[in-house]
Parts: sequence; C-alpha cells; structure tokens
Amino acid sequence: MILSRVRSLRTAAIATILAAFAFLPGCFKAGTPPVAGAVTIELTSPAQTFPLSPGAATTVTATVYDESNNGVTWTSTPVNFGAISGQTSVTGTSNFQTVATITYTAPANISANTTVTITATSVSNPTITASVPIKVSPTVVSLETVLPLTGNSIPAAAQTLAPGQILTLTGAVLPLTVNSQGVAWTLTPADAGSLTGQTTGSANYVAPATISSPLTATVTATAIADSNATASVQVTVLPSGAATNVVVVNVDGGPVPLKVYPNGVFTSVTICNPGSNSSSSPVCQSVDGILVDTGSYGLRLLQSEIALLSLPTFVDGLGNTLENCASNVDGSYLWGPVSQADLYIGGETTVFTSPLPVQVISSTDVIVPESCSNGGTANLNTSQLLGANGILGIGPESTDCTLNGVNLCDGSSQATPPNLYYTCPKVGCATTDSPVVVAPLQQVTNPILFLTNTGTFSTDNNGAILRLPSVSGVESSVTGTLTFGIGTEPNNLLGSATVLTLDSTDQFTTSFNNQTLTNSFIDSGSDALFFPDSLTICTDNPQFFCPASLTALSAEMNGATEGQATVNFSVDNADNLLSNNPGSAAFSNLAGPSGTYQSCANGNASCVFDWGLPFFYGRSVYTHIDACLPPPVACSPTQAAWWAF
Amino acid sequence: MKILVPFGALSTRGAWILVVLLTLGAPFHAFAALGDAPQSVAVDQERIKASLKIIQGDAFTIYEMTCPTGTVVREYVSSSNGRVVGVSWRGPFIPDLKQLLGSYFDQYVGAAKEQRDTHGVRRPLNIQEPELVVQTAGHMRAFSGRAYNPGALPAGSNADDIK
Repeated sequence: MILSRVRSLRTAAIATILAAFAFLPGCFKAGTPPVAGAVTIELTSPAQTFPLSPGAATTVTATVYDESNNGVTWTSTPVNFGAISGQTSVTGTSNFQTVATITYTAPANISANTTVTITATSVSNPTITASVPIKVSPTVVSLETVLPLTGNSIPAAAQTLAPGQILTLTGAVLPLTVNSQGVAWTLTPADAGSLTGQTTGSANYVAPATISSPLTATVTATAIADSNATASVQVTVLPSGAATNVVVVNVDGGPVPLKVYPNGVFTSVTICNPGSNSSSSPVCQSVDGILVDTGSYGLRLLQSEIALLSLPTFVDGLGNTLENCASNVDGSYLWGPVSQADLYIGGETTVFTSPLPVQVISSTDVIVPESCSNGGTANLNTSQLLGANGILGIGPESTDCTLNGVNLCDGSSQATPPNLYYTCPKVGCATTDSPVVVAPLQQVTNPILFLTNTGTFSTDNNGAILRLPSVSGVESSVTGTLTFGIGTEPNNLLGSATVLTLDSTDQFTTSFNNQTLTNSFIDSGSDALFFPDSLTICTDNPQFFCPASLTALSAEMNGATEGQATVNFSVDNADNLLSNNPGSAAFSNLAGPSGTYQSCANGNASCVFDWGLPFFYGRSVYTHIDACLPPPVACSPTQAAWWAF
Repeated sequence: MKILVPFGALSTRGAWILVVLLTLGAPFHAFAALGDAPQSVAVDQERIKASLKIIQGDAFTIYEMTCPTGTVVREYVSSSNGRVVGVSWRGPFIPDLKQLLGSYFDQYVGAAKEQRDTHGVRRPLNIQEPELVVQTAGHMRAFSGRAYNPGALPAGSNADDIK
C-alpha cells in the first residue's frame, strides 16, 4: 500500500500519489507518520499570480518524512525545458523529517504557454512521488490600436491609413510583473512617416502628409526588459485615402523564406482567444502570409502560427473534438480541429457577432482518418508545405459545406459527406473513423459573414471586393486592397460592374475556343488561369502551358441567368517566365491545362475554366455571398451568390 | 455510428464492399479499381442509395454511379479485355482515390507529390506518365478529374472518351 500525502500552497497542485484510503490534506501534520515505515512528501512553492517569464526562477520545497532520512530526487517535465538547480537538503530536523528546496529556472526562450511539472521522488521508496505544476509563458507584447471615436482599444490588425492620418497605439508587456518596464517603439522604414508622443505604453504613428503610391510601414513595440519580445502592426498609407473596411493585400511571394509563391495574394489577420480582453496571459497574435482565396470558404490557420493562443474547440457530450478536413484539388489536404476565435482584419472584427469557427491546422503529425487523407496524400501542415501561414476563404458561400445555399453537412439535405467533418476523442482519431453530420453554426465559416466595421459599425458581411493593379507581364510584387461589404458603405458600391449569376453548383459558363466550359469559377487562390487548350504543355512545369511565343486569347463568360463579358488574356511560356524571374511574384500571363481540349470540345459536362489570380490584375472583383434559404424557397438576385467585376 | 459511403470508407473494409442500388432489373455489380475487372457483390439497399447507370458502347461499357453525396463517378470498362481502363469523377467531394485508382494509387501519390514540390502551390494536377495519366480541376465543393492508362485503351477509342 502506498501511503503518501501531498499538499501545496497552490490549489492547482497535482497529487500524483493518492492514499488508497482517504487521507485528506491537513488531516495530520507533516512529519507525523500515519503508519510506521511509510514515506510522505509534501511540496510547496510560492503562490504564482503570473506565469514565469523566460529565464525567471521560482523555488519548490519538499518536506519529506522518511525514517531513513534519504530525501528526494527531482525531475521536471517536459524534459530539457528549463533547469532545476541549487538543491539544498536539511535532514533530520525532527521526527525523521527532511526539508529539501530547489530552484526551477524557466528556459530563456519559450515559444508557447507551457505548464512544467516538478516532481520529487523518494530515494527510499521511488514509488512515492509528489508533483507541482509551474506555469511558464513567453514574454509577449500586447499591441492595441485606439479607436478615434470611442477611445476604446482593440487588438492591432494591419491598418490602411490616409495621408497625414494619425494612428494611436498602446503596448503592454505580458505576463505582467512588477518590473515589466513597458515597451520601446520603432518604425521601419524609419522615414515612412513618424512616431510622436512615445512613452513606454503608447505612441502615435503619423502617416506622411503626401505620397504618390501606396507606402507600407511597420511599427514595432519591443519589451524593454526582453528584446526578443516584440509585436508589430503593418500600416499601409493609400494615396486615395483609406477606410476601416479596407485591408491591404500583397502579391509578394508569400511568407516562406527563399521560396516564392507565384501569383499568391496575401494579407495579415489578428486572432484572439474569444471574448478575451486585458488579462495576464497573451490573448492575441497577428499572423501574416494569409492567402486570400475566393475559391474556398473559411479561415484556416497553421497551429504553429498561433501557438500562444488557447482557442476553444467544439466538444460533444462524450468529450470528442470536432475535426475538419479540407481537400485540395491536387489531392493534398488540411486537417485540424474546428476552433473558435475572434478575428480582426483591417478595421473589421467578428467580436460583435460571435466567435468565428475556424480550422486550426494541426502542426503535429496526428492520425488522420483515411477517408480524409486518402491513405497517403500530403498533409499540408507547415508553412513550407502550404506556401502560406493560413488561408482566408472568402468565396460566395457561407460555410465550407454549403453549395447553392444548401448545407450539405448538417444532415438536412443528403447523406453525410465522405471527407469533411469527424469527431475524435482527446487521444486523437483512428484511421477508420467515419465522417459525421455537423450543425451549420459549428462548420468552418466564411469570416466575412461575421464582420462589423469598428469605425462605422456597419455590418460589411455580404461579400468583399479584391482589387489588384494591372500587371504587364512580370512584376516583382504588387499591392492591392480587399474591401469588405458590397453596397454597405460609400466605398464598396457595385456601380456599373457586370454581375455573373451562378448555377446550382455555384459556377458559370465560359465559352472558349469552341468549348462550352460549364464548370467555370473565379479563384484568387489559383495561381494561374487553368483551362483546356491545345497549347504546348511545359517540360519543366507540366501544370502550365509553354507556347513558343506570347499568345493572345479571348473567352466569353456567361452567368447562369444574367451577366455576359468578353475577357481577353495572354499566355506566355511558363518555363521561361519562372526560370527567368526567380524572385518575382506577379505573372499576368501564367496559364495551364485543366483537362484536355479534345475531351472538352466533345461536350464534357465537367470541363473547367478556372479564372485564377491573373484575372484579378487590373480589376475590382466582387464576391457576393449566398444568403438564400435552400430551395424550393425562391431566392432574390440580391441575396444570391454572384461574382461581379 | 459508422456510415458506409461509396468510394468513401471502403479502404478499411476491403476494396470490394462497394454496394450500389441498381436500376431496374440490372444485375448487381461493384466497381473495380483502375486496372481491375468489375465484380458482382450483394447489394445492401438499406445502406447505400447510390444510383447506377450503365452505358453500353463499342469500345467501353461505362458504369456511371451517382453517390448519395452528389459526386458522379464513371468507370470505363474496356470491351476488349473487360478491365477498367479509365475513371472520372465530378461533384462536391473528391471520391476515395485510393479505392478508385487501386494499384495505380502509389504511383499517383508519388507523381502528385513531385508536382506539388516544384513550387509548393496547390494547383490542378497534370500527371502524364507512360501507364498513368491523372488530371484534376476545380476547387472547394466543385471537384473534377480523370485517370486512365493510355496504353490500355481499346481499339477504336482514345483518351478524350474518358470524361
């Protein structure tokens, strides 16, 4: 029989050994053996109001009753995370009691909130142990912007400003300690506007009074006590002025060092624990390198990029977690739990609606059901594999399991889809797990549906406009904007744009080179135009066309019930483009095959014209989100899914 | 609850437990993977409500199955050797390609990885190998694709017929 008792000054202390019968803590004094020959260990450590900062230390004391006076040995888990030192031991003070004290020092670099378990093990009887948890946290700088009208602060997300506009920022160092010392401010590039009124808690960024082209600057707050802890906000000054429903997007090769993502359009978001406000633990993280994708639905973030956050998941009555699988056209997939987050993007936020269901892409190699993984295709769970830190899916549907306004995953319309949602126990999924039905409110949701403008309190939740400048052949990078809402504010009116309505599969028809391509869509997440043609396939890049010279082409788009447009485009030799411009990100003449010309000219019902990012260059492309009820309820054109440009 | 999905959960139950509800009076068939011969199996009409259409042609017999989740899968069985020489799919969900491609699956995975590694970007596949062509297209909730063995197409047919 194990006889031990554990008591800690901290209520959260873990008793790893429990008496087989109920000895309650405090029922007898330390040093008074309940049974002759038994060993007891009692651990204490100072009350922990705040987590330990990197490199900080705390003490743990063990009071041991042991007739042999052998004391204890110490271990900590995770192993090699911080260090135990300064072991002191005073033996035989009274009643065979030993008091041993150690110092635990947190690692100098901490990447995520961690609970370290310190364990004391009896030398006389190694089956007797006692443990105490120590919370450690990275030093984190919390950066917020102050809203001009209300004076309220919100987590700092990438901002667009007008020339001369002032942005007030506040910075705080977390976890709070008696000598956090606050932050110091820097502006990069140093001449991109100015910083005024700097204190260790706040500063004003003042945009240049006049500019001729968009200017991007980064304001960084660095913890004075720990130069490794920084937080930044990207500000872009637009000559045309700015508004809180606009965020800047960049075709800049993406976030992966030494790897250029061609024709990828990226933005940044700020993600927070839902409902969080100022507290002692970090609650928000800014993530850049988020691919803007009009061909998918929902925000998907790599877990490694939001390691400081604790986003709640959906857990059923049996303790199972709701997991999501997103299949990609190339057979690869994204896997991870549906998690609830607060999102800030530009001056828009989801906090006035409800926590946004997002997919957190599991960074660790967990077991994935075979119906999702297809038994061996690629799990894109790192930024190197994904080419991005996340995906902002803002296509014309409300969730990742909705088509033409009909929810395919909630069990209302059809059998359970084969590879979208799963519920798995805490230990993880099995390869044989089957998909499940999921209520719409728990599905990964198009983030635009939840957006409210923090400046105007307009609900800009019916769509978005992606605007990119013209690209003539090849550019190293280009900057554009993503404007939230359609017809909800003065700067997002539809005007005279051509509207293309969509069919029951959310697609329209493209007539091209004597083919009728009924499965056509507009997709900023495709890095080229993809269509069936007899152009030469590339040798080095068989997913692209390689005509001998620049080839001019034309196609006609036809909406399902309305909308018609003729689009001229050109195709260049992709092998030459990519090898001759290794550092460039924007290519207007990149195209590749989808199916083959002969097959589609013969009347193949599934032939595709994928209007990828080159279509967006020089255009404002509107994506209107389906707000219709499922058929047979009639849907008005103003509620339906459509594209416009 | 286990839900049996055509081309979905089959890999864990062996490749042949593919159950379809047939059109009037037709014999019961299961689909084979690329390169295999179709086989007959018992039908469990309670579990699976997929519909099957059989299109008899000169070069191929086409088995077209509409999954209860909306994806249409076609298998092209060669009239000359009775084997599946091509498959195609279109619909909101990608079918179980491991089941559909059978012994060609590993080759497909390797070739797909190679195309993805070139730039690390998700884009339609165009795999052109001597014994396996795979082409995919589409995006979330609208996928399509086809796979065939170009050397096994029967006389009087060509790759354009696989669609």
